[in-house]
Amino acid sequence: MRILHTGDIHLDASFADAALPPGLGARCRQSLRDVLAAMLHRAAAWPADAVLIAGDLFAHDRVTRDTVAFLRGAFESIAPIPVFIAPGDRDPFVPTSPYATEAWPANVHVFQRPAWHSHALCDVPLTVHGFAFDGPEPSNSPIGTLAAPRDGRAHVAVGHGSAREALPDGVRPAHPFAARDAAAPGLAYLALGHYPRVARVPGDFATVMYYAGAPEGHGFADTGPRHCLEVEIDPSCGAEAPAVTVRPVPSARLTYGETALDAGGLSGPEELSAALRALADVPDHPQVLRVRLRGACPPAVQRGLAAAQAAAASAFVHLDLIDETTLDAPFGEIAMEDTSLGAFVRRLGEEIKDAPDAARRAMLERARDLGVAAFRGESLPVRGPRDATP
Amino acid sequence: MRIDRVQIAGYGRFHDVALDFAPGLQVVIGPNEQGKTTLRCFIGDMLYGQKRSATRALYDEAHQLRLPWDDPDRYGGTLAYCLDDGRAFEVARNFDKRAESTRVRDLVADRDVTDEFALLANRELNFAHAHLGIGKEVFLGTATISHFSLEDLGDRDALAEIRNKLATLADAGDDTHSADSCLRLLEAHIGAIGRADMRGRPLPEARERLARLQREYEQALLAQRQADDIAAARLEVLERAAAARARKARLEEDARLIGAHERAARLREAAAIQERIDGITQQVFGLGAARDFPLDKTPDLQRAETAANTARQALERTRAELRQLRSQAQGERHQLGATEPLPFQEVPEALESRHAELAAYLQSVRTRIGEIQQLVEAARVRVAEAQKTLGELPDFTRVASDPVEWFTQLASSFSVALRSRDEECALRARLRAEVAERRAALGDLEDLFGGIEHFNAVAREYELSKRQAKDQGVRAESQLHGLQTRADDARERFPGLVLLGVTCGAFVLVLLTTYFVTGNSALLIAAAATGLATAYFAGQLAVTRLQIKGLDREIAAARAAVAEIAAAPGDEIALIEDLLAQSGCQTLRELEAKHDQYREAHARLRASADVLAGQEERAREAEERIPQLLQRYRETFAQVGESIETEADVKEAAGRAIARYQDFRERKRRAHDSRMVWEKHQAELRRLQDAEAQCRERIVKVEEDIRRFMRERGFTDERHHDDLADAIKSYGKRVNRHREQRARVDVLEEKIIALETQAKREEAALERHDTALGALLAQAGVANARAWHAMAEKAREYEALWARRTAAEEQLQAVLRGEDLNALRRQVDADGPLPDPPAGGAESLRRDIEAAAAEIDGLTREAHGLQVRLAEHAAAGRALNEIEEDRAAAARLAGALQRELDATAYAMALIENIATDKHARIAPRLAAIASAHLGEITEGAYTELVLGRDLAVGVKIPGTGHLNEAPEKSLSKGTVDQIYFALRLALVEALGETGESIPMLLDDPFANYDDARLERTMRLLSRIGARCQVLLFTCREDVARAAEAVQAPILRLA
Repeated sequence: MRILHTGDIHLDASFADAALPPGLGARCRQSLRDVLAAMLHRAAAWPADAVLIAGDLFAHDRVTRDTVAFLRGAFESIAPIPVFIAPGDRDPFVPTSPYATEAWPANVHVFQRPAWHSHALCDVPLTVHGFAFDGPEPSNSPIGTLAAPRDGRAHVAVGHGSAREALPDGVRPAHPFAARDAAAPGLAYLALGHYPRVARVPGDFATVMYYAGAPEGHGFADTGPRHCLEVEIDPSCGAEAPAVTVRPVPSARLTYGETALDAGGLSGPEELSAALRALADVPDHPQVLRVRLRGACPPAVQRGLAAAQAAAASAFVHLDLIDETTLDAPFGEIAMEDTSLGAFVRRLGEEIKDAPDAARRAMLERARDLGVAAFRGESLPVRGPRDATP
Repeated sequence: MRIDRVQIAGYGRFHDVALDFAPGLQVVIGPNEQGKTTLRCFIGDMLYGQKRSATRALYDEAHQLRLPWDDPDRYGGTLAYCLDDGRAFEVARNFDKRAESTRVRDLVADRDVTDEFALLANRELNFAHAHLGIGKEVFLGTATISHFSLEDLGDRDALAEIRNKLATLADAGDDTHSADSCLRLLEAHIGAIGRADMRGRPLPEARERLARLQREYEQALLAQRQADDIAAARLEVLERAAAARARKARLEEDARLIGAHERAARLREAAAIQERIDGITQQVFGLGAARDFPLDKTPDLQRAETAANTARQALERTRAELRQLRSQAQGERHQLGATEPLPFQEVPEALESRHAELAAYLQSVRTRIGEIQQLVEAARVRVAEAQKTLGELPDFTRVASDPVEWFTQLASSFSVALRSRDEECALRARLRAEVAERRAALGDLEDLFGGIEHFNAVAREYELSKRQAKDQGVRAESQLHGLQTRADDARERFPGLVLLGVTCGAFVLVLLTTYFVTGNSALLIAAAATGLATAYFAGQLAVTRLQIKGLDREIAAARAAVAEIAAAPGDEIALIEDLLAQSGCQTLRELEAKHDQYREAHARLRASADVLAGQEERAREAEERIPQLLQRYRETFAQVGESIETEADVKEAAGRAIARYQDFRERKRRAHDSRMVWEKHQAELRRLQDAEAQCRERIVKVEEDIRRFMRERGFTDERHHDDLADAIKSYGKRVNRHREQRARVDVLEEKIIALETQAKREEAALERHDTALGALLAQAGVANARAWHAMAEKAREYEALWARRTAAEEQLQAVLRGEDLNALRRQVDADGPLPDPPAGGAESLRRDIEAAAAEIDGLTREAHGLQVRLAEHAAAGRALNEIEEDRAAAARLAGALQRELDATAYAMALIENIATDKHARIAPRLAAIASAHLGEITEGAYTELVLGRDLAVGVKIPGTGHLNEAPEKSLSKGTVDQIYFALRLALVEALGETGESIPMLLDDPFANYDDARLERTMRLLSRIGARCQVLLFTCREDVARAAEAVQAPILRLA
């Protein structure tokens, strides 16, 4: 039996926190739709016996009617392959949810309550269990209450929540549970959602538990490749412990990346352009790339940032250039001089050393760069966000 | 630091050159382009290298400029120096990029100390900075004073420039950017970001955009809440619609039960109708023979029978009428008799009309001939009269081809001659008056200058003589004055000499008396000496007396000479003086001006006299011409009968002659026109007479044709009619009579033919009706019409039974409502035993169902409307996501710009504070040192320089205590240069006060110094050299001489 497992797609989510330029968010949202459509197309071609979506299919507070229409059409296009949706914390099953208000195709089954509900497929000996969030947190935790009957069928479950054993750094837990409680005799596979990357819940359990992760990132916090899971269950090994094979399949169309580039050795904007273009020569380079320029470089390089960014932007969907360079100047030697400039550098050097936080330090370093450049009769370009979306 | 020696392997023009520098002031002299600046640069490069960046190994342009001319591979040298603490070092450099190296050797310890110094980011060894305590920029900017740094001070605002240079040196160590310029740049940077009060700048715009997006976001949130309310309302409506659908389903179930009861009732009714149909079917079988009788053809049979009888009666009537007409036609043919050989025919219309046309034309020609004959006679009379009147006038054709033009020209020429004569005479009179006037105007001047031929030469001579006399007078006066002065001096000295002589004499007498009294011989010596003095003064007195007398004589002679010069005028002078007196002029220039007036007026008079002479001749000629013309015109006008007595008659005679000629010309034209008309009428008369003859011939021919036609048609009586018209009329009557008889026969024959055709048609119709009747009878299988009617009665009875059966079947179908009876029976059987029907009838149920459907429909529409409103809400504005993302981007931009603004403002504030403190701190010390230097250079002319807290330079004006803050407006360029030089020296000294002394490199900074100040400056530099080395590069020998004066060593570059 074949199952396609995904979740955390977050259709219609806002990219405001991703620090993308205006307009790119819409493109990213469209890309998420495309990714879902591609996954469903793959499920139909494989063919999968069922598609499990482990929550957070869309952002409940932002979902549009257009997206709901898209989902209906996409799910209907793979009929009769059943699609099981276990609403999560971002798309809970509430009365105003499209899950409740819209008519879904016959092959779509949305779990509606925070309690296990079972659905046995007719064509294959497979039973799918699932539960739904009925709010940001479920009003009742069904974990530990599932009992898979010994009926000769394969049993899988789908749900949303945070297995404490596999909680990644920086992820806010939702409906936390212990993996031991989630495992159940006779339950071959538990499809989970909430974590951004593919993760297997560690532990020696009869139930195989996986997080499929988001099939595409949602900003520079979600860099690198993304996947959905193709799960194959072989009941011939015995209904009590069927063999489960999980295969991550790359799914992202739009990948995000972030890197640092040392501009200290660069003498001009041409070299900077070449260095940026070289980032695009890497195979499978991220389409949306953030480059943090660091090091001490001459004002000519700082003045040429915009031109270099524009020259290299065509190789990316978006190239975000963050200027964190400092002025290329012998501050130590200048500080030794008995001049106003020397006193200025000395004073700022001391303040930088004693800066209480990174923001204050960055401001003081910038002030030092601006002042020293001005003493040389040079004006540095105004530092700020630059848009370089081709 | 003191630079002791440089050894140049290769650097610019130098190769293999070694130079030793003395401590203190060292002058290096050489002509232009001998390498002074190169040497200065070599020292700087040896100490600090040739990199233009402090952090990168990038060479500045000096690297290429200073490439050795002879051997580029030997690019470098050594420099030896010692520090104030006695340590001595030698730095060896190779500037060649391919083998660049720097080595530092401690000469005291005799070891390589290269590794003891840090290597800078630009790959330069940091020994110079370590030893001097200042960087490259500071060393080159502060310790080097060249003529370039002075030249750009300019003539205006020089002290402001000095202030700026001091500030840049104090602020940045170089002489290009001060804290002020730095603050201006940073201010511009802030301007590029934009403060809150700036419009159109990035930061205020970003903030405005952020606020705008925040408002839009709040509005979008509100819209979303409204959309949520609408969605909730829609949800409620959908629930109500679901309830209505359930109620409708229950009503439909009741309706189904009532329908089952109604179905059973219909089955019972249908069975009864089916039995009735079966009974009627039995009766129909009894009348089966009449079933196929064509009862519907009965009307056709009746119509066929009537038509056959009618056709037979019409045929009999037609045949009777035909027989009657044939008999009548036979009688008419007998009356017409035999016909003519040729049928009568009317005369052809063409011949007849041709004859009429010719007759009418002939008549019109004859009328026209009569009219033309009258016109010819009238024209002949007019021609005769015209010839007669023409002969009464003179023949102008012999006078001229165009007499009008001729007479006009004569009158015009005479008028021109008269006008010319008058104008010439008037001009002559005017010229005469003008000459008289100019001659009168010349009057006084002519008396004054008339007899002098060469006034200008005389005037020049007069002027020369006057100047010579004046010069002689001046010299004589001067001599006289000198003599008087000497005489006065001598007279002034005379009493003094008398007094001295008397005093000395008295003293001698006293001494001699004392000697005689005392016997002291020493008194004799004193008396002798005093006697000598007395003799001297007496001699001087005599000489002075003689001088006075001699001078008095010379003074008298001089006075005589002066009087002689003043009283001895020449001839020219007398003449001019006389003229001056007569003319009343005060000076020769006035007299010359008056003579110029005379000369000009005389020239004008002469020119006017010449013009008048010519005009006199022209006026005389004009006056003589008039009588000649008058005589010739008398003869000419006499030919046309006009006489001329006076000049005024010419014009009138010409007018009359022209009028007479115009009358002659008019009569001649009229005679010619009358003759032409007469000739034209005569030609027309001849043409008409010819036409009349031709027309008569044509009429005769046409008449002959017409008579021949009538004769050929048997009208032989035409010979009895002379008039053709009568003949044609008689021929016409006969033709008409014959034509009437023939027409009557033709009408009868046509009627007979028509009746024969009608009889044939009626026979065919009768046969056709008989055939149709027979066919109908055969179709019904009866022999005749009576049998037909009997069979038709049975057929009608059959049809009535069949109609009753059909009505019963229709009733059955209505009951079954399209269903099959058996199917209905099976349905009723399937319904089984039915419970009692629900209360209320089917109609009530139907109304309830309809009401439920209407409610569902209304709720569906309401839900749809709410859905539309939701869609409108969604489409009304931008999506929250987009607004949120835009807002985040605007916030990021505003934040970044604000941080940039904060950093810039912070840098500005810090720089301003530091620079202000720095300037305030160094200003007093600099002012003190520089004031001392300036006082020495200017030898006390300016002793006090004042530096403000902002380094603004002022100079105290000596003796006044007044502070001059813009002394460049009152000071010389040299003094301004010296102020700057003093300040620069002070700055270098101040820099070296707290650490290592800094060697100064001076490159010809004395361009505007005078010799004295240059000498004093050299003394100053010599004294400063005791504290820090001064290397003075110059091309000027005066500088070298000044340096020699202070015993400064001089190094000459070949």
